[in-house]
Amino acid sequence: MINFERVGVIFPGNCHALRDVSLNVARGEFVYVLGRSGAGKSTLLRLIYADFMPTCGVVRIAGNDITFLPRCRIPYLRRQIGIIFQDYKLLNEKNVFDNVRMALDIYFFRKSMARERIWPLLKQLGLFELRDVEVKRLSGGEKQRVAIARALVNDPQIILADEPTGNLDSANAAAIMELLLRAQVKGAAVLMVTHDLNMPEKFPARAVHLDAGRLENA
Amino acid sequence: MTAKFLFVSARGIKLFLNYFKNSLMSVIALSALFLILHTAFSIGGGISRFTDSVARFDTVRIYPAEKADLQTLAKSAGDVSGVEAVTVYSGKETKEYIKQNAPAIDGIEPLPDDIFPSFLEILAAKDHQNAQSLESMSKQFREMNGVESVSYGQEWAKRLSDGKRAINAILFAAAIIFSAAGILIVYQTVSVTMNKYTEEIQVYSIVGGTEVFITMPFIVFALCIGASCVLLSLSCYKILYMTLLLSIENAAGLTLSLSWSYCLIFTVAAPTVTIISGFISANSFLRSCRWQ
Repeated sequence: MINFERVGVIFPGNCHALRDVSLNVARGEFVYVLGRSGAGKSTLLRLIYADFMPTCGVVRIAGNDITFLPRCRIPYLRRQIGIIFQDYKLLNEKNVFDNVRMALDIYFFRKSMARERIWPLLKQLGLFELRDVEVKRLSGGEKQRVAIARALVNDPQIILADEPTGNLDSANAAAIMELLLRAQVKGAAVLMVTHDLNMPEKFPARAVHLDAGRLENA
Repeated sequence: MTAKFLFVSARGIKLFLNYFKNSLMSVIALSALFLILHTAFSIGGGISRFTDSVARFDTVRIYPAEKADLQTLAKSAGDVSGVEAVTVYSGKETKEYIKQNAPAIDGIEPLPDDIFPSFLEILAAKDHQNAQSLESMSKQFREMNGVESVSYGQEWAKRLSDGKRAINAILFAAAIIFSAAGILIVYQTVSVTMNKYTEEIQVYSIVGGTEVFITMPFIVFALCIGASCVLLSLSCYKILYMTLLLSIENAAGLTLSLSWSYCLIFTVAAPTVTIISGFISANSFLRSCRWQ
């Protein structure tokens, strides 16, 4: 599902963000990407959703070599990926339902059709009662669950989670982890970036370690 | 396709209404520009029509060479295409003509008839009564034997034609300048509005929204601005016409109302220009976004 072959990323100023990274993540696999701040974890994720191109090497996502992917096809690649950010990337002025609905807007879903998809998901994530509440009124844990709902609503093949539990207490972090593991069981490839080394112990899965742009199996 | 179009159109109209305060300033500025343009076209067109009506080109005079036979010349001139009638004025008739038309001139009576020039007056047919046709007819008259000179008021025709050309050039330049100003206003308004929607655009980009999906509401937004400007500027012009221009029209004998063809062209062109401007602005904004 995700295939990196000797990938390198060099930012302007000869800054090596990734060096010779090779990684394979299969369908239904859960992989932790561990490492300190600045190790290149977020760069790795951004390559997967084609936010930029690698300087060298090959990145294949769901069968697409992103280096040769035309710019106009990138949105269609992103539709197969659910992305969860540490800072949620939600619109504070909109309510929970409308935030999740944004992922369906791109398919021109009408409100009634969107409701059929979103309401069961919100019930599953314990957000149904909050569906009409503006996001700015929610706690950190609730916001992160909204972000997960938005990432899951299209049943993506790949889920990228960039420090999803970084701002949460242990109870909320555990709840988020359970949601991600549930998505993995359903068949999605989940790549979770974290600097919390205890996470793989609490929720065991394959882990890789990034250090100064180099990848090692942990 | 219709559902998609309705979806993005609804979003564009919503944008326009949500940012009405911001859009309103652009609509007012653009409408003011267009109102100036309408007034310029109205006055310029009025002057042009006025000069057309006062400058009548319907006759050509042929002055024969010495010893030329007037009757033969008249017959040849009558055969030229576009000639309605030929009147022959001998020296004596010319003397009578001057006496009748310029009674204030003294001392004509004692003069001998033969010092007055004889000439032919050619009346052009209705559909040839314009400077271009008369020039073409004059050219044929000049080539005839026994013709010394031909005149139909070329100097006036040239001056009027130059004047009309200058008015048209000024109106054309005004249309270009105001269109450029309109493009800039819409470009800037769309840019500012997109800036306010940066977070939403970013989220749509992350979840897989295509460029068309993201930019189309802003292009519809630009279209809303254009359509509002057409409506507002033409309405303001109508009020201006009824309150001020109509009285000038009556007093000066000008026709200052805008033609239907102008209104139609403007109604199509102005929104088209705003759509193009919105398209360029929205796409250049997306290109400038790092995360796109």
